[in-house]
Amino acid sequence: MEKKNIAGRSEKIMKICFYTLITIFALSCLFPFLLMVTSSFMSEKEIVSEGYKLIPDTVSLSAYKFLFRNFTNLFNAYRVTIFIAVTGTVFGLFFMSMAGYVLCRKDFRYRNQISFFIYFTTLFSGGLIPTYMLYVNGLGLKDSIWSMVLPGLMSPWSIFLMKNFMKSIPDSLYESANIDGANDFRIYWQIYMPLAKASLATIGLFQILGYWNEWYNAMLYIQTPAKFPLQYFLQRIVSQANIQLLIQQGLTINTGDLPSESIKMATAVIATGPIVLLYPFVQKYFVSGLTIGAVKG
Amino acid sequence: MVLIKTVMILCCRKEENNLKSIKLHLDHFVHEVKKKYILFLMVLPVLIYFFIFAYIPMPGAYIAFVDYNIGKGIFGSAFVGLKNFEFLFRTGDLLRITKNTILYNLVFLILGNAFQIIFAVMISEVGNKWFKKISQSIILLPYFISMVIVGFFSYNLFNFDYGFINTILAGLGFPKHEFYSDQGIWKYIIVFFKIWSGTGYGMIIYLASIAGIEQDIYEAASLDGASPMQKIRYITFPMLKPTMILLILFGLGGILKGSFDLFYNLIGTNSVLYPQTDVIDTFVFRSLVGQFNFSQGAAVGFYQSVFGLVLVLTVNAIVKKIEPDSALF
Amino acid sequence: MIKKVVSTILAVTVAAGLVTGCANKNTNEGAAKTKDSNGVNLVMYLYGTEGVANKDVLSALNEKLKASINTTLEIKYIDWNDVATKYPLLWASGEKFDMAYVSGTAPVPYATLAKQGTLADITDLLTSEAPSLKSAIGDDYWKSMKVNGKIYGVPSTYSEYTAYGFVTRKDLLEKTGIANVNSVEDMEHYMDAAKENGWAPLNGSANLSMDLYRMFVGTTSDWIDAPGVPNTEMYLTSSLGNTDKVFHPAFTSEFETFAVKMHEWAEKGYWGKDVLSSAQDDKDNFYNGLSASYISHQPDWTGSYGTQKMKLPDVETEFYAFAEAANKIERKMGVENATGISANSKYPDRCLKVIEKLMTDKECYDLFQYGILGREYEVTDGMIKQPDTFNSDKDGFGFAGWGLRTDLLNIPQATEDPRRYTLNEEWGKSAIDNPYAGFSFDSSSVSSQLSAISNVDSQLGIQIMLGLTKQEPKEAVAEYRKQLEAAGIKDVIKAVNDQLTEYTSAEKK
Repeated sequence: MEKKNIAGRSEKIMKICFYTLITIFALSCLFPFLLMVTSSFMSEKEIVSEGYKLIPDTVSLSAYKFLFRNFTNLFNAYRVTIFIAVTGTVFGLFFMSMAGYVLCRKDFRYRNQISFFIYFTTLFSGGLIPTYMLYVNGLGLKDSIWSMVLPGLMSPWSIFLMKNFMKSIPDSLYESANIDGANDFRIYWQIYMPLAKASLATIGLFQILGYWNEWYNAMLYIQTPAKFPLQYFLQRIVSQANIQLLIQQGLTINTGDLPSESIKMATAVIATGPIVLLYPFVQKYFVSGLTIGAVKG
Repeated sequence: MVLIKTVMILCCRKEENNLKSIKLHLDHFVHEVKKKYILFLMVLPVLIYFFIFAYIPMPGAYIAFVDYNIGKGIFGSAFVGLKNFEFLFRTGDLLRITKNTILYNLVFLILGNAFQIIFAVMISEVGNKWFKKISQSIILLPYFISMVIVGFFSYNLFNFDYGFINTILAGLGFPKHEFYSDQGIWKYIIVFFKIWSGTGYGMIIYLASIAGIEQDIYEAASLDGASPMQKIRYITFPMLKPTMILLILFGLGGILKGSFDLFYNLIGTNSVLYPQTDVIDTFVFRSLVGQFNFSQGAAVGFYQSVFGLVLVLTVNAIVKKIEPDSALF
Repeated sequence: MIKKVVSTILAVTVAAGLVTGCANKNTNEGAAKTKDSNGVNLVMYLYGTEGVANKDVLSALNEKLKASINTTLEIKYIDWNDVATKYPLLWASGEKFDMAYVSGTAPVPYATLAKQGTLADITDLLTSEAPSLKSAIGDDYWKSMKVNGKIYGVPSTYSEYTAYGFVTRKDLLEKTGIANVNSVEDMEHYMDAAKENGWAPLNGSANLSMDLYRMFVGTTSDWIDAPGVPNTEMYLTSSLGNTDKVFHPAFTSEFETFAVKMHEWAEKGYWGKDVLSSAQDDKDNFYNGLSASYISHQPDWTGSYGTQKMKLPDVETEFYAFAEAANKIERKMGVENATGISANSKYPDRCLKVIEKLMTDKECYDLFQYGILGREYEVTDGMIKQPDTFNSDKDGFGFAGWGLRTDLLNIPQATEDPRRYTLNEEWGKSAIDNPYAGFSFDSSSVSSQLSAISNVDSQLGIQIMLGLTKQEPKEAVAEYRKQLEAAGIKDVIKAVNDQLTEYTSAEKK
């Protein structure tokens, strides 16, 4: 069903305002990204002497050549990231949506206590050392791919969002299914999940984004280069961070060989590109009116 | 509050009553589990996950109260009470950085959510499908640009000698502006960058929420002669309220934390700007760089956590009185 | 229900306490994977990344090691970027390994590791298991490794004089008729001339403040660096004649004069107005042709020779060492690059033997430091060069093995400025020993003061160094002194002096 468009004047003005505001903001978001892309095609000399430009004087592919020299490793890093993203998202969505369902059930006596139990973990944490020891000594996950999947698998924020979305699904659906004799899991799986498409898409997108950006756990736990995820792999190529500190300690590094500014830009482009292409596919779930028909039926 | 009540109950009631009520609770609990075992099973994975990955390491926070010795481990190191918190008080900066942190986070939270809601509504209202999709994707782009690069761009924009803005100013005949020595302007710049990078991401939630609103309501309103603005004001916004409250409550828990990347990369070592832009995380980073001291960092983390806990418990209790459905717990 | 949650949390606390507490104790499993009854595999942690050819070089090395001492070596890496996080974690997590790079300036300093029981005491082992190593390394070097009289690591003996100085371009010197830069006044002439000729004189970033501080200490009477406050900020100093009494330069009149001068330099525009936020530092700018000078230490300058030839092909550079005039150039202590043996290691004796081989056996040394002859390097005219057949995709190699370098076996590199060796020789004759070798400051009683001081330094301190204070320099200095005192500088100085007195009297016995 489509929204009936009352083409009143006020509506037209409102829409024009909206289009304008959105465009202005979108341009401010696009501009830096474009700058990054064009700068990745610049030669290092030009960047150093004249800064980033939208229209470079000379186009140079040296940054990309450098990155793709390592093609097999880069490809591998993509594979690792895709694996942890898919695994983590599928399992995470499954477990978290179940939890969201349970927490939104008003007849579940302990939902407040469990909510607090989950929420409390966002406030207090043991810190790096105990967590590290849990993963490495306690669970033996050093250098294991699971050390990148597990940390982000479930997040309190997503669980609460899930619960929030599910609360908006009308109770009448639950009641009628209950009367028909369905148990909670069936109701969850056959009724709530199809209706929660928008929320699954949202949380799923967030999970994927989180795993896509994963580098910290790789830094802590992964040693085999073949298991490096994309962001960490790219970061290592660009690393110059501690060179200055080392020099202050009296060590000498031949900095002439270190990658240049254009490579920093190129890695940023490579890191972002694919995921932005994913977003349009997910957007179709944010279309209004998914619950229509369910209540009427 | 719940915990304080519990502790009081445990301490003050007579032992006999204590045991009786525990047994009563246990009985109720077992009965409930039997009746609703499917629900319990469904929530069990999540409970196990947090138990293992969050609660088991949690006692390690004790490191904030010891003189940490690597050889002796966290629990073997000497207990020193609140000594690790001392450095926060020594320079007299604690009040200032706490104030800065809270103010920035409040602005980020409220203004940020406002922008996210407004853009979500605007994008939902415009008709053209391609415009919707493309603008959503573009607005999400800043989320992917790391703060390090934002720092570079910022420097390229604002620096005195050849920054983009100063070049334009000079070209138009205006005097150049020393942005990096101007204390007053950075709070606006920082808020701008935070909102710029966060709107695309936060907007997604509100878009999904709007998608869940039934269309019949809008149609009924149209039939009643409501204008588009009125529809937004009286239908869309109220439907988004629970989500907004949820996100704000979550944000309050982290009121003293966060955004280190943003501040560190935009301001970094420019101490001239610190009075207006120093937050707890950057302050602590600078204090501890050069020393090997996990404990002091953990002490600050503890301070941030306790503050957040108290704040959330208070606000949650208030929300519970006004809109019980939207409270966190 | 709530009570249940609370009691569960309490139970978890106890249980977790046991888990995390136990994980730290030394389990007797040890790190060695025995290949056969006698063969032993040892694990060593170094900074850096694994080069493509590292495995090949390592297996060539292991052939020799297995043949002579029935031991093989495995290297694990801590990437440059991650050192600050992973290095402390390596020790704190109780991970099992045998050896690692240690240093007085590592994220967890050598002395701290030794005092907290994470390193093996090798004082006696040295005599029994590796006597030739013991004699190959001179007593002065061993002295710098002593903590409470015992030795916990093997120092490197590669001479370095990390004297800080001012690097200039010869073409600019000639153009402006200045013979050479040999004093701070000369520096000013050079920079004024540079500015007149359209150059940014000393175009740097915030860390320029520390370089200027070092210039100040180096060029002021007989002051030398002293322990107490970390070297990454405005550290304490002492007088050569009285090294047991440290003080903070900020409380001297020389410091006031210096602050005024720095303010002048800032006004003259020696560095950019946005120096505090700049991303490029002075050395990078120099080699990109965007700065007329930079400040760094001699090994960095000589080591950048390769970069210089590549980026500034027709330019020659000169170096003015701040501490040279007053004969204050110090020999670098071996402890700044050393190798420690983990207290966890099951085979500390084998570890020592491996270290001995790596530092005294020429073939092993060359393999470890330079790679495979003919593939990674060749020696022409007594210098190390990359062979023409070198392909960085297949032959790229590197071990950050600075902890194992020795003067005796070191071969100069073609990418080093040859003046490194001539200067070193010259300085070797007049250099002084660091009077604090063997002394390690225990900062646990003043750690909150140090954090507070760190904050004062990163705010007002840096601003004074770069002449960017809002107040007049002398007022700023007065304010700085006030802030330092509020932060507790007097406590720190007292603690250092007390510990020094104790140390010296113990030494005399």
